[in-house]
Amino acid sequence: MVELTISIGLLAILGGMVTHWFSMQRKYQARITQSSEGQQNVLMANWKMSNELRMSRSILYPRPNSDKSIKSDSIIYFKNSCGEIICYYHDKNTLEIKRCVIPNGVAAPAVDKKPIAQGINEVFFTAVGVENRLVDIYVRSLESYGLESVYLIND
Amino acid sequence: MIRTKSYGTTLVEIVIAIAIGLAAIVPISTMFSQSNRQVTKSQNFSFAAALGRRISQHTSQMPFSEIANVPLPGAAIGGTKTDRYFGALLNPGTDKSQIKYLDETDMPGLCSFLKKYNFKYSVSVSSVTFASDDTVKSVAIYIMWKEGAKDFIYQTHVFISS
Repeated sequence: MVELTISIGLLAILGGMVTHWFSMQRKYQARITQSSEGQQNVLMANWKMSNELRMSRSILYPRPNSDKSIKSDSIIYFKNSCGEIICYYHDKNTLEIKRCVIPNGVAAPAVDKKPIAQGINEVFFTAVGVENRLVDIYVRSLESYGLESVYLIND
Repeated sequence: MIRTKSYGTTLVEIVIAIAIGLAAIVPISTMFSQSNRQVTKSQNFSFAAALGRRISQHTSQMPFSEIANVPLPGAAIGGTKTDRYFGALLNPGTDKSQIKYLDETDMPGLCSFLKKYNFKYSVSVSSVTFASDDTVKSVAIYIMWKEGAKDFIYQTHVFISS
């Protein structure tokens, strides 16, 4: 009887400990996966946007303020290397960065089917410098951050 | 003579089972923590690479004479409003009074991330003059940070001509 009581007591304690440990590890693993995904989202967003922005002709919006201070927005318009007007914008509902082409004539903007990046909580494009050839990109996906800058090399 | 047959488990058996269970749990636990370290390391390397690119892109736009050294042990990223690379971060407003700086007040999440890993940067500039009006500046950019007691560094280069 004593043996049985002790073994039940030990099993209960150990069962509780193991269950708690497993639940902790599950949460921990979920956090790691989340962090890894956030990092991948930031990388993907920065890589795709920088590639096109670097080769673009000019930034149409945002532009530095009239007092020459930096200006930020969650949307950017620029003329790409082919002369098309492109817009990247943050959709707060779907947490996506989307790309669309603004037509020259009277027509609705054509939004790309596939977004630039998903799982993005915040994005800011900042116009820096009077020439407006340098854009800072601040991206946040969960607890992962990106502080990228792109200088337009296509003069 | 009557023989009694005992069923069930003895305390010794339970203790052995517990020991085996613990022996299995320890390596699994180590595996989880190693996976976390790998994710953190990869995250910080990617972040450092982006910081390096930011400095190099800003350097490309700077007046040539203003490209200067930031000596070791480096300057902390964030916390200094006048830092030319990481001071003024955002400005959703229409004048300079609405600028958001990379500090605890304006960007608490990013600032605590930077402080947690003690991100710093250093810039080393060397000039090579070919003719009176032909100089090239070789700019070495170092991003340093800490993960626990371990130091990490990311290095990149950019060449700017006059």
